[in-house]
This record gives sequence, structure tokens and C-alpha cells, in this order.
Amino acid sequence: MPRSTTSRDAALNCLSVLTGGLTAAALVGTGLMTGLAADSTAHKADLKAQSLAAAASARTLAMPVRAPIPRPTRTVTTIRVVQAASGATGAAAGAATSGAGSAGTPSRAPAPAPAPAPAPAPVPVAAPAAPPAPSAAS
Amino acid sequence: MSTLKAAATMASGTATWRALGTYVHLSTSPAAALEPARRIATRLLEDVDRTCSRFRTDSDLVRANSAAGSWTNVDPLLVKAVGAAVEAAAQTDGLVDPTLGHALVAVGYDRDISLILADSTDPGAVPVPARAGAWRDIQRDPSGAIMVPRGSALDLGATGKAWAADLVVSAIAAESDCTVVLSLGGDIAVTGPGGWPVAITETIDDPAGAEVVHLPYGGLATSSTAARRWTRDGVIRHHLIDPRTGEPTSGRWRTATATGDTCLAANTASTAAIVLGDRAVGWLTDRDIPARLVNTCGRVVRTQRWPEPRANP
Repeated sequence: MPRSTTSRDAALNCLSVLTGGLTAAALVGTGLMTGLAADSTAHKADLKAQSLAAAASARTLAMPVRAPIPRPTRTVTTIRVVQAASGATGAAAGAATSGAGSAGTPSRAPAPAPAPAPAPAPVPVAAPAAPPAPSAAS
Repeated sequence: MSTLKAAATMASGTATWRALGTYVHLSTSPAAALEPARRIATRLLEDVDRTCSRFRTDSDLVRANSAAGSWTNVDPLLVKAVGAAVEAAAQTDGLVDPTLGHALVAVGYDRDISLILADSTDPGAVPVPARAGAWRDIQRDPSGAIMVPRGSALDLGATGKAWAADLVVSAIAAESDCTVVLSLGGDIAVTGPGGWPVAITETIDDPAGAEVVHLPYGGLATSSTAARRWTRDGVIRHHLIDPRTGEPTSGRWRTATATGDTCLAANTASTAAIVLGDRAVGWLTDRDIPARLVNTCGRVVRTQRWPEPRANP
């Protein structure tokens, strides 16, 4: 049986109204959900910030307060002089300290390099007991 | 009995041979210590020649000179020899300069002295003075590398023999309690109780006779322009170069003998005295170095602590 034009138009109008309604409902729903999620994120961020602040505060409280370490105001210098002696007399050593320290460990200056022996003075010989070694340019 | 007399009266032994282009005279007391000492000396002098010679194409020194301006791996022995040469230059403010390699070649000292004397007619060359202070730019790595300054060439002729004499005598003393004396071309090192008598002349075959002194310890060295002489382009040349001019020295003294706590110190002083000329006596006196100088006329001058000779009985 053939449908009338009027009923067909009515059906189409209903469909349009229904589609528009559904679309509007979906938009409203999406907006609501987005808003709720944003609220939730902001809330979590607040909680995290509060937690970090609380932890930092706790650390600050737990840190011991260091007392300043007193530093020496003067340095003690020890000079050690080692004097070589030729022959079998051995070596004589002496030490001298200068300055008065209020605190701190005395510092020892490095031992100075031994001074070279003086150039030997030759002794005249009239009749050498051993064959002399020659010193002549060649 | 003094230790001096004790050493002198004990039987001594002597060996002579040639090394480093010059004569070697080794004596020990007692004589039984001579052979082990000679073995040590022979080995060390061969090592020194292999590393420090300017006339061996395979020596470490020649390789380092060829690569001037860049680092060269060398035997640590050469690094020590160069260190001794730099020390001598520092003590004399460059009067004893190890960077005279090019200057020596320019005046004709470009091969072993025996070869130069055999063919002493080459034309002369333009003198090459050392770059002032070039010795300060010598770089050394004790583990075995040196860098010769760009444009320079090392020559250890001024200090090498004396340093080697100290090296040999120290090595022998480490192995034996004997008294030992080594003369390496006139550069003498002595160690052990009592010291050793030394005969001083200008050249090894000097007809004027020797002045004999007793050296109690350390070193004694004689430098002379009367030896190692040759002719270039009709001009007499010798091996003692004034670093300021690049020419053989031509000052007041032809021979200088000095002592030192080591042979190197003695040789540094005697070489510096020749280069200094008129200022030598003051320089030696300021440093309290006993020295005996011979001027170009043959007159002998002694510094304060050098004794007058004792007449033969």
C-alpha cells in the first residue's frame, strides 16, 4: 500500500529531531566528563604539592644544625736543616719552629735539597805513590 | 796512617783503551777490582756512545736532531745526558750550551775528530751562533723522549764525557768498595777512600811535563783549545765554541783545569772559563772553584784554592 507524503515528511522530521537531540546530549555529556576530569587532576596536583611541601618541611626539621668549625688563625712552619759533613762525621740535623698557632696541624716545609759539596782543593804532590790519572785535552 | 796514604800504598791496577772518540784511563785500588770495573765501564761507555753520539747515524741523538721540533722516543740514558747538559747551561747562563750542533758543523766539526784531522782542507762555512736561550726550550720526558727545539741541533760534546765519567765511577762504586779513578779524555771522576793523583797537561803528548796534584774526591777536568784543532779554508779551528758568536773561542785562555764535586761540575767550570776569557778568574773566584788557567802565551795562573806546584825531590 502506498505511503502518503504527509506521513513520510512526519517521519523524516522526527528523525531529524531525534538526531539533533542525541547530538546535543552527547556534547553535554562530553563537556561534563571533561570538566570532572579536570577537577580531579587539579585536586590530585594540589594533594601532591601539599605532600611535597610537608616532606620538605619534615626534612628541614630533621637536618642537624652544624656548629662552625674554628679555623687556625696562624700557621706554624717547621724548617728542618740537614747539613752534610764530609768524612766520617755523619750528618747534623737541627730544627727551628717559628710562629705560634692557635689551632690546626703544624705544616712541615719540604726538606731542602742537600747543598753540593764544595769543589775539592787539589793537594800538590811531588812523588805520587800510584800512577797518576791523566787530565789532558785530547 | 791517613786514608790518603793507605790508598796510595795499596797495589793499584790500570787499564787504558779508547771510547767516545777519546782515551780512557781506568785505575782501581786494589788491583783486583780492576777487571770487574773495566767490564762495567766498557758496557756503560758503549751505551753512551750508542745513544749520545753525534757521529753515529743510528744514535738516538741523531734521530732526535733530525726530528727537531717534535718529540722523539729515545733511550732514557740520553734523556739523563741531556738533563746534565741543560743543568750545565743553567749554571753558566748558557755559556756551556748544548744546542751548538749546527755551529759545530758550520766550523767543520761534522764527523769524528780523527776523520777531520785526516782531511782538514774543506772550505769554511758561515758561522751559526746558537739561538740565545734555545737550551731552555729542550723538552724532556724521563721515561724516554726528548724534543729538540726547532732550528737547533744538540751536541753533548761539552758535557757528555764528564757526565759519562761520573756515571761509570758511580756504577763501579755501587758494586765495589775500591778506590776508582776514571779519566775520559781528561775529564776525571774519582771515588773511594783516599782519592787519586792526577797529572795535568794541556794535551796528552805535552812535552812541557805534567803538574801532579792529588784529587781527594769529586772531579777534575781540563778543557783546551790546543786539542781537537783543524783547518778550514786556511783558518785554524777548534771545538770550543762561543755560543754568542758561533765561532771557536778566541779569548785569553787556551787551557783551563778546574775541580768540582762531580766531574760534570768541574768540566762545566773549565769550559765556561775558556768561553769567558778575561772574566774567567772573577767568575771562578766568586764560585770558590779551584782552577788552573794557561793563557795563549803559556803562562799559568792559579785561582785562590789551587796550590802552587811542589818541586820534585
